[in-house]
Amino acid sequence: MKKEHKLVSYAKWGYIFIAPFFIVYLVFSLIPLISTFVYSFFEYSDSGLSGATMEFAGLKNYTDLFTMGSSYNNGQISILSYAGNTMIMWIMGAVPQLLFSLILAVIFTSARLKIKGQRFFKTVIYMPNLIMAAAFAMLFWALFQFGGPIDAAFDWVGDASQGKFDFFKNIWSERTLVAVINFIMWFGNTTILLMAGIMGIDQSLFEAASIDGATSWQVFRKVTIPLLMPIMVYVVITSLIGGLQMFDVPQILTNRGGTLNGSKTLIMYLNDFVTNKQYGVAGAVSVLVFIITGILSMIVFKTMNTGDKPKKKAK
Amino acid sequence: MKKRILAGVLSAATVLTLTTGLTGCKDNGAGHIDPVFTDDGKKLRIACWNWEFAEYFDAFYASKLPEGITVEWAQFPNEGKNYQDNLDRLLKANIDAPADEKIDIFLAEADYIKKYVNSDYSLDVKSLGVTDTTNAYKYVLDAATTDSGNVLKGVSFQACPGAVIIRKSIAKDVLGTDDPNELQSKLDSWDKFNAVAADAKAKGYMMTPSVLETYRAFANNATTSYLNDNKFAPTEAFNNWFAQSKEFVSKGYTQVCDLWDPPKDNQMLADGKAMCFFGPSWYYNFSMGTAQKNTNGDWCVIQGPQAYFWGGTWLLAANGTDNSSLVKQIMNDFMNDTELMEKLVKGTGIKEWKDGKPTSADHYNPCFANNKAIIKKYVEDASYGNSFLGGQNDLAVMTSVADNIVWKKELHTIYDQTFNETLPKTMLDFFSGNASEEAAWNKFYNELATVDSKITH
Amino acid sequence: MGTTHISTGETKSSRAKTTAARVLSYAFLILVTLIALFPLYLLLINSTRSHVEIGEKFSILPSTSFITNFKSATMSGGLLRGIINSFIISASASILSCYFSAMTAYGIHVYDFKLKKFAFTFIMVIMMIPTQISAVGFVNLVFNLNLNDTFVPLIVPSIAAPAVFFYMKQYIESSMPLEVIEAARVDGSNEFRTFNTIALPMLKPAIAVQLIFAFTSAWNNYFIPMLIIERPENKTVPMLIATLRSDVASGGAAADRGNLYMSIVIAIIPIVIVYIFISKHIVQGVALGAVKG
Repeated sequence: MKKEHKLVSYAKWGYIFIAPFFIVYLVFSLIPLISTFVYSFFEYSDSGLSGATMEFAGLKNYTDLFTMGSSYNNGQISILSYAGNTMIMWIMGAVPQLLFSLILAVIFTSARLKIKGQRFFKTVIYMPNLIMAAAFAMLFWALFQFGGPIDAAFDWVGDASQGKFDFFKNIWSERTLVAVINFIMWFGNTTILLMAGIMGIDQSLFEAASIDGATSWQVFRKVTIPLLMPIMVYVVITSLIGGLQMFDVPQILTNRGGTLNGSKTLIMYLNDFVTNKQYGVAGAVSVLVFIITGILSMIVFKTMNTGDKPKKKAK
Repeated sequence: MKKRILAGVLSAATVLTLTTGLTGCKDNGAGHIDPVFTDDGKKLRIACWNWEFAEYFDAFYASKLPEGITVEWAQFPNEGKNYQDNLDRLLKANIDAPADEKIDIFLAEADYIKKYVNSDYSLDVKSLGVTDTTNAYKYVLDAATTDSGNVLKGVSFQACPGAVIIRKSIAKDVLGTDDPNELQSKLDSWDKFNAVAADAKAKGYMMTPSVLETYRAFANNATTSYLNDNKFAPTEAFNNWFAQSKEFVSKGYTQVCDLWDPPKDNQMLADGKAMCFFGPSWYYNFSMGTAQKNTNGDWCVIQGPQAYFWGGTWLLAANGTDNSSLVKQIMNDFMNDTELMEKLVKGTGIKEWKDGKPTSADHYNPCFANNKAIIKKYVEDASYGNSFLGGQNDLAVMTSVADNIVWKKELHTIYDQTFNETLPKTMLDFFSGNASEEAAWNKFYNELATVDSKITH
Repeated sequence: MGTTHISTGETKSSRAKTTAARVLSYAFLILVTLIALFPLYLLLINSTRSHVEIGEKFSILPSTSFITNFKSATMSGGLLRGIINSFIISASASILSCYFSAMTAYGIHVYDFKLKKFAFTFIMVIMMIPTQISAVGFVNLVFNLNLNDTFVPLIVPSIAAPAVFFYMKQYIESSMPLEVIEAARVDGSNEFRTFNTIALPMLKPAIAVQLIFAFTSAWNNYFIPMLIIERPENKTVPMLIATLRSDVASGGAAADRGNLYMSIVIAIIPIVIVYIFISKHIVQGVALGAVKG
C-alpha cells in the first residue's frame, strides 16, 4: 500500500520537474512557431505604415517558393540553390572541425602523452567562440579584401598591379572563408564536448584494453569511438542545426550573399523576406527549413545510432 | 475537455502573435488619421538611426532648451530595415502612447523619406508654425513635400549637393590645369568626361576610383521611373551609366570595387592614380580621411557633368507629439537661426567621435547648411576657404549644384534604396568578370522578389 | 593510469614512438593555439589604430590611437551601460537555462511517467528548429504582452533550451547511477532536495560546459534584442556595436573603425574574464567527472 503510493507520487514529480521547461516553451516558442505556420498559408502584405493585410492563400507561398528564380535563372530555383549553399558551407567547416577536435580531445585525454600546459591550451582553443560572429566576419573581410594584407602578401606573384586574387569575387573562395571562420569559431567548443565525453568513459575499459595488449589505435577505434558515439551524435546534430542556422558570418562577410549569391544561406533568404515584411513567404521558407532540418537530423541520428546499438546491448 | 481548453488557449494565443500590424490605427473610416499635437510634454523624444544630428543638437542646441525638458534619443541601427520597422511601430502607437513615450521628432533619409512624407504619421510643418522656408534649397523642400496637395512635412538643416572632387596634381598632368573653373569647362558633360578618361589612361591614371562612382550622378537625373505599374525596367539613365561603366572597366579607366571598399581608399594615398571622386560635402569633409591625412590640399571640387545629391537627413514632426511648440522651434532654428547655421557651416574640422555623442561643444563637423543666405555670405567671404581643397571656396561650387538639383517626386518609390544601392552593387559581379550580364541581372531579380513579390520585370 | 602498468614492459621503440607522438602533439597544439589567438590579436591591433589607418593599410603591428579610441568608445558611458545590461541578461539566461535543463533532464531520466517518452521525443524534435524561424511570431507576442523594451523576453525563454537539455540528458545517462538517488530517498530526502543537493553537484562538469556556451551565445545575441529593445539605457553590447558597424558600412560622417574595434575589444574583455574564471571549473570538472565515472 505504502509502496504503491510512493510510485504514484514519483510520477507526479516527473511532471513537476519538466513543467517549467514545457510551460516556457509553450508560451515563448511553440505559440510563435504555430503562428509562423499559419503565416505560411496567408498572403501577407505590409508596407510598414499603411497597415498590414492578410488573405488566405492556401499553398500559394509554397508554390511561389518553388518557382522563384526558375523563370529567369536557367530553371534554377532560388531556395534549392540556397539550401545547397548552406549544406556545402556546413560540410566544408564541420568535417575539418570534427577531425581537429577529435585529435585534440584524444591528445588532451591521452594518459600516454601526458601533455603539459593542458590548462593553457584548453583555455585558448575555446577563445575564438567568445568573439561575436559579426566581428569575425569583419576581421576576415579586412584581411582578405582586394588590396588587403593577404592580397599584398602575394605581391611577388606576377605584376603587382594586375592579376592578384580577389577573394570576394569568387564563389568558392567566399565559401571557403565562411567555412574557415566557422571552423575557427567552433572547434574549441567541439573539443570540449568530445573531451568531456572521453573523460566520462569508464577508465577501467582502457585499462582492460591495455592489459589485453591493444595498441593506441585499436583502443581508439574499439573503445573510444563507440563509447563516444552518444556525444558524437550530439556534436554532429548540434553542428548541423547550427549550420542550417548559418547567418551572421556569410551575411556580413559576403555582403548578403556574395558573388552570384553563391554564399547565400537559407536563413539569409528567410531574413530577406522578414526584412521586407513578407511574412507569408517567410513562413513558408521557415516551414521548409524546419522540414529539411528534421529530415537531416533524423538521418544523422539514425546512421550514427546504428553503429551505437551493439554496444548498448552489451551494456 | 482538457485538450479542448488547451487548443482554445493555443489558438487564442496564436492570434495574439499574428495581430500586430493589422490593428492599432486610429482610423476615422476613410483610412485617414487626424493630426494631433499638444504642448504639455516634458520629454522630447527624437527617433534616429545614427548620432549625426544628435551630435549637432547636443553641441549647439541642448543648452537652449527650456527648463525641465529632457531629451531622449530613440536610436535604432539601420541594418536591414530595422530603423524603419521600429519607427513605423512607434509612429503607429504614438497618438495613444503615454506622455513621456511619444515620439516628437523623427529623422528620415532621402531613400525612404517619401514613405513618411506621404503618410498621416507626419505633421504639416506649417500647421505647427514653421512658415519661413525662403532660405531653404528647393530640392530639400520638394523631397519633404507630399505628392498630392503640396504639403510640407519636413525640413532639414543640411543640403547634400554632389560635386566632382578632383585630385589636382593628376588633373594638372592630364589636362594641363588645376584651376577649378578651367577643369569644369573640360568636364561639364559626360561626353567630355568620357573623352578625358582616355587621356587619363594614356598618362597612366584612372578616371574614377570605383566603377560605382558615377552611379548617383546618372541615377539622380533619370527622367523615368524604374517602376511602372509594379513592373521593373532599367531606366535610360541607368543604361547610360551601365554603358559608361562597361567601357571604363574594359579600358581600365576605373577599378571594380564598392564605394566604401579599401581599394578605393587606397586611391587617396600619395601614389593614388584616380582623378575624379564623386561626393557631396560630407563626403570630402569626413569620409575622405585617407586623403586628408596623406594628400591634404591636393584636391578641388567642381560641379561636373550633372548636378546630383547624395544622402541627407530630414526632420519630421511625429503625429501625436506633445511638444509641438518646441518641435516648431527646433525645426525653425535648424533652418533659419543665423548663429546656429553659421556654426554648422564653419565647423572646426576636427572630428572627435565619442560613442555616439559629443562630449564637448568645441569639436564638431562642418556641414553644408540648408540656408542660402548664410551660404551666400560665405561664398562672398574672401577669407573663407577649405584647407583640404587647398583653400578653395567650395561653397560657391556646392550652392550652384544645390540650385540645379531637381527632386522629381514621381520618380521616387519606396524601393529607392534597392535601386540606388542594391542594383549597382549587384552589377559588380558582372564588371568583375565573374558573371555574365544575364546572371548579374538574375541575381538582382532574385533580390527584387524578396523585396516585394508583386514586382515583376 | 593504465599505461603505467604496461610501461615497465615497454620496448625502446615504443618509447621512441611515444616521444615522437608527443612532439607531434605539441606541434599540433601550437598550430591550433596560433589559429585560435590570431583573430583576437588582430582585434587588439585594430583597436590601436585610427579610422583612417585601418582603412588605408593593414598592419600586424600596433599603432598609436589606442587612447583616442578608448576615449571615443567609453566617454559617453553608453558602452559601460551596455556591458552591464548584457551581463545581467547573459548571466540570468545562462543560469536559468542550465538549471532548468538539468532539472528537466533529471525529471525525464529519473522518474517513470506516462508522457516521459513523448516529452523526450518532443524536445528532440524542437531542438532541431532554428530559432530564427519563429522570430516574427515571437516579437509580435512580446509586443502584445507589453514585454518589449524589457529584459524578460531575453531571459525567461532560455528556461526552455532543448540543446542544453539534450547535453544534460546524455551526461546524466552516462554518469549518474540511479542508486545514488534511491539511497537519498531511503535517507528521507525529498525530491527537490535530492535534485539540488545530490544530483546537481554530480552534474557540475556538464553545467560548467553549458554555462559558458549559454553565456557566450546570450552575450553575442543580436538578432532578438535588436527587435525588442528600444531605450538607449536598455541596449546590449551587440546592439551598440551594430550601430557603429552600420555607420562604418554606410560610410558617412559617423564612421569610425577605430571606435568600432575598440568597442569590440572592450565588449569581449568581460566575457573573456568570465570564461577564464569558469574554464578552471570546466577543466577541473571534466577531470572530476572522469574520476567518478
